[in-house]
Parts: sequence; C-alpha cells; structure tokens
Amino acid sequence: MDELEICYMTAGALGPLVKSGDISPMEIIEAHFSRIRATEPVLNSFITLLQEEALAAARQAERDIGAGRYRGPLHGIPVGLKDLFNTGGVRTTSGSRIYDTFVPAEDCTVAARFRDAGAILLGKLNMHQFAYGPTGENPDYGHMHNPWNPERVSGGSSGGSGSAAAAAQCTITTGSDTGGSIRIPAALCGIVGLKPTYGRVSRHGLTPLAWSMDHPGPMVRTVEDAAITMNVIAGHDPRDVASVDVPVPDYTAALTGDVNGLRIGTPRQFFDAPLDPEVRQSVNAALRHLESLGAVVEEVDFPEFNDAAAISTTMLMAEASACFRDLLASDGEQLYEPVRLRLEAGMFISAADYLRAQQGRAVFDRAARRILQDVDLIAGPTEPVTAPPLLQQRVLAGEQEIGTVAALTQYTRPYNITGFPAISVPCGFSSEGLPIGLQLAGRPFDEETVLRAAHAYEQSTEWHTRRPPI
Amino acid sequence: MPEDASISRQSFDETAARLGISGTASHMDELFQQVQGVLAGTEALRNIDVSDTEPDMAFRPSGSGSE
Repeated sequence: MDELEICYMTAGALGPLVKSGDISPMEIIEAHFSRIRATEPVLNSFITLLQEEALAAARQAERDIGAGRYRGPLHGIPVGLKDLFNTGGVRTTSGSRIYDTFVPAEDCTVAARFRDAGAILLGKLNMHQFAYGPTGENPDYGHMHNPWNPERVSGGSSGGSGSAAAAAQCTITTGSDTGGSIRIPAALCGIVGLKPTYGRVSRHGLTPLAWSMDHPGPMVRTVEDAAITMNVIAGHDPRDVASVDVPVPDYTAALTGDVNGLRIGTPRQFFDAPLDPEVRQSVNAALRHLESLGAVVEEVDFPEFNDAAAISTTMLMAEASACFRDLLASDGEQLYEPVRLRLEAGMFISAADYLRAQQGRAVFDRAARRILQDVDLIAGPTEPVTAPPLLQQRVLAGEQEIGTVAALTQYTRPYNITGFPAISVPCGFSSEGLPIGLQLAGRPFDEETVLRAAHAYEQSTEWHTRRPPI
Repeated sequence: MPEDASISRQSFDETAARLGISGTASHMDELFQQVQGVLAGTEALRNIDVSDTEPDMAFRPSGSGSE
C-alpha cells in the first residue's frame, strides 16, 4: 500500500486491517516516519521524535498480534502526545528549554492507557510554551506552522498536535484545553478536536496551566477516531482529584448517523460578536445542513456569553500565576516574553477578583445549563476567523479589528468555564483555502450526543476528506 | 460606590517589588501596560449580578453523580 495512503488512513480504518494481519504495525510506523521526514522541516510539529523506540514497539506489536494477543482498536496505531503529557523515560519539556532534560519517571494516566491499548508513541508534540497561548508560538523549539499554509499559525496551545494530525504525521494526537487549546488548533488545521467534560479524562501527570479549567482530549482527523480514542483514555482516575467516577460508555456506539429530532440551540450573541463573514456563512450552512438531516435548529438567548472573557481570563491568569509562581522566581528570564508577561500580570489579580470570577462562573454555568434544558446541544463557530499569519497581534473579524488572543478564544472559553464537552468539526474552507470549524457543546458527561451530531454532520459532508497541500 | 480597578505607576512598582517581580525598564513598562489591561478586564466582573451566588471552590460539573 502507498505510504501516504497509509498515513491518511484513520484508526477506524487501520484497526481492522492490523487485527486481520492485512497491514503490519511496522508498515504503518515506517510510513509515518517517512511522512514526518518529508513534512517536519516545514511544520515543526514535534519536539522529540522516538523512531527507534516506535519501531521496536511495532515489532513487538507484530509479535503480539501474531501470537493472538491483540489488544484492541489502537494496537499498532501511531500516536503523538502533546509535550506536557508525562511519559516515563521520555523527556517532557512542556514546550520550554527550562525542562529540556526533564525525564519523568512514569507515564501520565493518558499515556499509560495508550500504552496498555498497544498504541505506538511516535514522539512528543510541539506546543505553545507551557500551554499559555492560542497561536502555537515557541521560541525554544520553533514556532508551529499550519499545513494548509505554513505562513499561518497552527493554533495553540496544542499546535503541534493540530499540524501533526492534519498533515498525517500521526493517526491520533492529544491536546489539553484550558481556554480552547484543543479546539483552536483543530479548527485552524481542519481536524476534529474534542474537549471532554471536566473530570472525564484524567489530568494526572500533565503539566497544569489552570487547575479548574484544564481538560485533556483527542485531536484526530475524524469523529470516529475521537470516539475510539475516548474509549481508551476516558474513565475515573483516583490520582486526579477532579476525576469523576461515572460510567464510561462505548463512544463508538453513539455514532448512529441519526440526528432526527435532535434540538440544537444557536445563541444569537455568538453571531453578534466579531465574526468573519466567510466563517459566518460556513457555520450557517452547516446548521442548515444539520436541519436537513432532521435536527431542529433554533436561536437561543445567551447574554451571559458576553461575560465569558472576563470570567475566564481572571480565573486562568490567577491560577496560571499560582501554578508557575516558583518557576517565575527561579527561571522567569528564560521564559518566552509574552508568557512571562502573562504570568507576572496574573499575580496582580486580587483574591477578591478571583473569587468574584468564581461567583461569575457559577452564574454563567447556571445560564448555560438552562439553555441545555431546552436543547440538546449548543452550536456555533469554533473560531471567529481562519488561521492568522504567524506572530500577528491583531486580526480582522468581520468589521472589527481585535487582539488575536481574544479572537481565538472568543467561542472556546465558555466551555472551559462550564466544563461541558465541546467538539470542533470541519465545516468549510475560506476563499484562501483555510479550514473553518463548527463547535458543538453538550451537557456534562454527554459526549455521546456531541459525538453523534458531529459524526452525522461529518459523514454527510466532504470537508474531512480534504488534504492540506503539504 | 463603583470601584476603580486601575493602578498608578507608583502602586504598580511597589506591588511588583513586593511580589518579587523585576526586570529591565522596558519589560516593566510592558508589564505595567498588561497589568492595566488585566485590571480593566476585572472591572467587567463587577457588572455581573452575583447576588446569592457562592463561588464553587471545589469545582465539579454537577449532575455527575459523584457528589
């Protein structure tokens, strides 16, 4: 089989072939390293590559599968982890030279679950330094580049995950999402990114950014692969104080293709905010398409949306500064200047304002839950703009010029405040050929409905089949 | 009475010193600008009606069945 075609196959397609022996893990891993060699000089998706280790793991997978010890749908499938997921024996930098030689003693829970499932780790993925930024900037290991146009950002903070999945350097990648860091690069790179419910996937062994808003999750090319990945990484973990002990369903069983009668609310405030006309058009078309599939789409009122930035920014900055206070004192001058400035600025937020933001969070959460009493999902754009040029500080969203950070987090922050599951799924391309994402959010621990709707939309459109020119 | 979240340069310098934050003059100038922006952002919090709302300090999405 052609190496490029192997790389663009999904886990859902590769899994049965691996199980039957029609394709070998060695073929898959070798194809991916060929792809990485061809594209990495442009994309810079990785901080650490693990070719020898991955090939050894592939050989072992072949022996195990041949001996009847097949472990499941991810056995022999290539995975890349954002470089803040601790990996035992493999350095984990969090995107900073300060941790260039840090080698964790043990895997984080997510990495351990991938390992137990037989997935093969290709490497550690580049990221905005300490996950503190939405663009994928990193002076220590190089900025990340968008596969659809390398002059544009991949998005952040999980930018390497976005570019690696979109350009078929990995079958499955992971990200972490505190203000949008899974969904932003997913939308800008044209892939699927799922931020699960807070507490659904363990944070144990991940470098924190803001404890109460950090969510690990999958970044992949199809909704089915998100479901397959969730089947492996979701579940209670007593080592994570936020982990919730609720039953984990078979997420792939939710992918019925049926959205008949599903109620989808679109907050009018989403469309009053700064929004690029091409994005608006694509998202509206996606909503009409969901209607044509039988969903009931209705406008809803969500005035609290306008408070999301103040609530989220205050909480994130205060928590991040608390997380990194010691690092700031010991190594502040080694940090990327914009990251250092954000961390230092967060120290000026008073405890009273942090608590006020927590009160605002409760008000915001109640309002969002009221909407989800009447509808099953909340829909809107993932991003108000397509991928901006690298290092550009401001963007034009419709008729308004706003800061790039504010723009890229405009629609993603609300679900870090509430902890609701939210997915970005490709829903179009701009006239410049840049991807556009549709965001669907659901009730806590109802990833199934989110995945079901995203899958029905995806499978009845062709956006996910397009490949970047690289 | 509405509160003013802005900060004078003198208060900023004193607070920065107390927090152990230092740097070049240009770094501190940039940080002062950022801090002013952050504090202006917190003013928006005061427009949210939070009456009878306690901050949920052990945040969990409710309805999870774990509480």
